Amino acid sequence: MTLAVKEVDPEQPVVEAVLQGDRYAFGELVSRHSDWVRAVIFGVLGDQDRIDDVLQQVWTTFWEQIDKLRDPARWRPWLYRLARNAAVDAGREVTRDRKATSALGEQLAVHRNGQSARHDAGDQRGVVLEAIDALPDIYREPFVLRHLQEWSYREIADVMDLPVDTVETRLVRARRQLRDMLRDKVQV
Amino acid sequence: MDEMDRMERLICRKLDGELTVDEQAELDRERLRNPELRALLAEYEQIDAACGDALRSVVAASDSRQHRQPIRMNADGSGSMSRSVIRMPRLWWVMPVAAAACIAVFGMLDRGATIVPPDQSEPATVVDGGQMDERPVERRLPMGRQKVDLTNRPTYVDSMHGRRGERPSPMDYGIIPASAQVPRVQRHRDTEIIGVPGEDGKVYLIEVQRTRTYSETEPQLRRRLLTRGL
Repeated sequence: MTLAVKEVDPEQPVVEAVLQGDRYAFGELVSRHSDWVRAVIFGVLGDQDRIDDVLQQVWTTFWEQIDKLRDPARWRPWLYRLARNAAVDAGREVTRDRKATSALGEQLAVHRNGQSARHDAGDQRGVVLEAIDALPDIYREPFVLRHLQEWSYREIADVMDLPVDTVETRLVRARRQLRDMLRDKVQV
Repeated sequence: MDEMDRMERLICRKLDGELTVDEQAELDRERLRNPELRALLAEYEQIDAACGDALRSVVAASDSRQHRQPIRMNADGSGSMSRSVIRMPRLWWVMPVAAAACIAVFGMLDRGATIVPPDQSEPATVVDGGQMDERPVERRLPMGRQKVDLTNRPTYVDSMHGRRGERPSPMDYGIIPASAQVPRVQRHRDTEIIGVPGEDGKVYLIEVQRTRTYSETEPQLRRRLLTRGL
């Protein structure tokens, strides 16, 4: 005898209510899923100061464009892509702004150098964050999701719309690169 | 993939909580045998812990700011965000109206409403037990209770028993005891045990209880019991 187990997404009714324009359902969705969306944004942007702005923008876009979501069952990958794209755009804006205001850019560079100096002086957390920031995007994003949300490979794969093996390989490579960067710099 | 690469992959799976029992056993065996692997595992654990700590501190700091600046949509529920979709109208007023209508209907029923059938000078009254009350209408009405005249109106007969304009039958007014006519809700519960072989070789028993609900009138119930010899 075999038992067929159908996976049911508990958020499905909430998403469908949002599709109908239910603001309360939307508020519920925001409160339940902002954490991992924040992790995605940080994974792409690497800039903690802008997370909230981008998060606001992501949920606004979600609300405005949810009627474009063809398959409500795949709302997580869709939200992931919204968050990722918003974060990428925000990253481009920062780069553009820095180029446009060279004086400010220099100040920022000085500030960053100062921070780096402090990191060298013993701020292990800053060193680790810089190393994570230096990872290629495709490795950093699953790594951040794994650490902030403690998601399984399957959950990360579902959201990122990737095969589970690919997620695993990216996590292995992310750790390998971090090990190379942080060797002898980290003490627990 | 050489042996060390494979071990590195197993270490990552261990850190992510994805190791199977067999993989865990393999990693433990190798760890006892290979000091290089022990050092590698310790190094990865250290880096992983530091990364988790750093990332959580960043997002926690951001999260505290987020509480000060909630999503506008959630904060005031106003039309600060518009979406070009057709929305269902908010029917907040339906509930109180429906509740008032229910109260009014039950209030009428509770008063032992007198039903005056069309084309009859002496209306019949349904009283407890479904008996006909032959007294004049005025004497039947208790103090303060009002007569409900359903003459020339679509009555409940229209919707429940007959077509509009049809002369009502005695059944419509409860000449036959109501208990015989009103379907009773019956519940029948079956219990089944299903055995499911598990991957560990054990058989798991699942008890399934099914409750069927159906309605039947008293004559139907009698017939059913008679056919079963009860």
